[in-house]
Amino acid sequence: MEESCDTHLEAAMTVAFERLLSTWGLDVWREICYNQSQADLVMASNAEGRQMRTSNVNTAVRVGHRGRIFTLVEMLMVVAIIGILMALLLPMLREAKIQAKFVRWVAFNRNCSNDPTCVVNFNFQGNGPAFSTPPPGDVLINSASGSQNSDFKPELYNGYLKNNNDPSAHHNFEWVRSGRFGRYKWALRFNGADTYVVMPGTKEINFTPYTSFTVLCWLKFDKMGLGDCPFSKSLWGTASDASCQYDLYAMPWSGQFGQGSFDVDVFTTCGTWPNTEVDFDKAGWVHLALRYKYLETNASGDAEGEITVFINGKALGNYINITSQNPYTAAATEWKTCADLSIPLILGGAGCYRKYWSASTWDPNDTSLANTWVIKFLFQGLMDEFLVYKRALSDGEIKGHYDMGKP
Amino acid sequence: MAEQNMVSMLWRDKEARKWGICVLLFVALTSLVLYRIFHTEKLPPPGAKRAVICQKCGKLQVLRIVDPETPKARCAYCGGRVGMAWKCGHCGYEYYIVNFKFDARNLSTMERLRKVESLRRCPNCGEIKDVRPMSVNEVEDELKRRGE
Repeated sequence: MEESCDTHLEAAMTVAFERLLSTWGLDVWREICYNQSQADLVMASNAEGRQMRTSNVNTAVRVGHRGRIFTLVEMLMVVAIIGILMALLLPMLREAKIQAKFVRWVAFNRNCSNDPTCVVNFNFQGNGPAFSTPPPGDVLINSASGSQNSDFKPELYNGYLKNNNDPSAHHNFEWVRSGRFGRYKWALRFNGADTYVVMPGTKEINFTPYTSFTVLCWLKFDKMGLGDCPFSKSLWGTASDASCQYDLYAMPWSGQFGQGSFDVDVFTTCGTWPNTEVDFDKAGWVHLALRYKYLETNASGDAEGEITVFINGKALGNYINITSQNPYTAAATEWKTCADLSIPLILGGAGCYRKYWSASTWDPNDTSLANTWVIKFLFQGLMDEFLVYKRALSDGEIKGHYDMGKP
Repeated sequence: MAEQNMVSMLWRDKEARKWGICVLLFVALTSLVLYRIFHTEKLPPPGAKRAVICQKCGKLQVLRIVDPETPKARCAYCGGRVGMAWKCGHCGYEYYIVNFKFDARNLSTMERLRKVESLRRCPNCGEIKDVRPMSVNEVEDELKRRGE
């Protein structure tokens, strides 16, 4: 009785299986032989007249019309082996690809350091094995070494990690693996509350409207807050009293003017872009480049230059000149260019005049830098790579920086 | 020998060859898709460690915050919403701020920045200029001192 039940069950399964295969259109598998009564299945080979005996296999596939056997078990084993091999090989291939990209980036970055016009190059890497450890201590090492000036000392342009609330206290930065090149690349997390980096040297990064320059960096915003400033060499004050060389800050809230994602200040010009085509909060790593190209001196003796911002290697179009086009900031034309002002370059914050932005802590009789400025509008997010060139890089060079560094 | 024969027979058979290639391609593509799904590029977790104050119980603590304007993190003690911890340099009062968005239309850049500053005003003494976000290290030191 039990045997009869089993036989019926097996027969029903066979029919169901054949119907299933038929439904899928797999005609070649329709010749499934399901031997219910014998343990062995013997099938003849039409091509060579041989016999093949398959022991203990009761499910087989006759391939085509020649009668060769290719069991499902064998098929599954092949599939499993291929799957296992791919599971092993694909991560290894991925790791090799990331490592190759990282090595390529390292070579490119070293090449940048040797550029005679490169004065600042923070690669955010240490000097450990394979160049893949975070920098030691609380210093970003400036690896630029090819300045045109013979008295150029790169160590003067090292970046010092600071705590805004207490410069003598331990900073609150975090070193994290950036994810740009897997586990190899490091990035610095600015917390938006008290972290900034300062470069004491100013001579090589003091620019005037008569000198071209380019600033490049990789950023990952946690959230763009109004005024959050990734880098600044300025002293923000009032509309009629501010000193500015160059800076870039977030301006994400919509409005009639300055409705772009960020503004840039270059000397006496404040520019903004209405549409950057990038949602910075969701874009992940973003490559930003600010380029100022000196063009000519006009009839009145003033320098005329061109400001361009690149996002991910692509130049943004014309900007809205807030200083001249925004009726609410007409007085901003009184800004000074601060070419002779020895204020340091700051990463992760904006330099502001203490007398305007923290008047209660300002001593009018003290002319020291610490009393002159105060760091505000701190940036929250990750920074990786920061370079300053004393020339206007071409569009292709900026695209090259992006291509070499993109994740 | 028999296996070799079987393989050569399979290869000579058009139907078998077609389906064999299809199966291999299917396995390869499936593996690639699964690989893309399970091996996406790992970015570091967003958000920085920030000093926050619970809006409900007032506890000072350090949490990882992505958006300081509308933090989604919850108080570790009571589960309440938190706000960024600020401290007044004038009166020493510790307070929190949240949702400091405003209509920025028709405001100059400088006015916008000033407006942001004014929204961080100390609720105790009204000071605007001498206020600052609290440091993670000072909060951690304070919590250690209190034995929390």
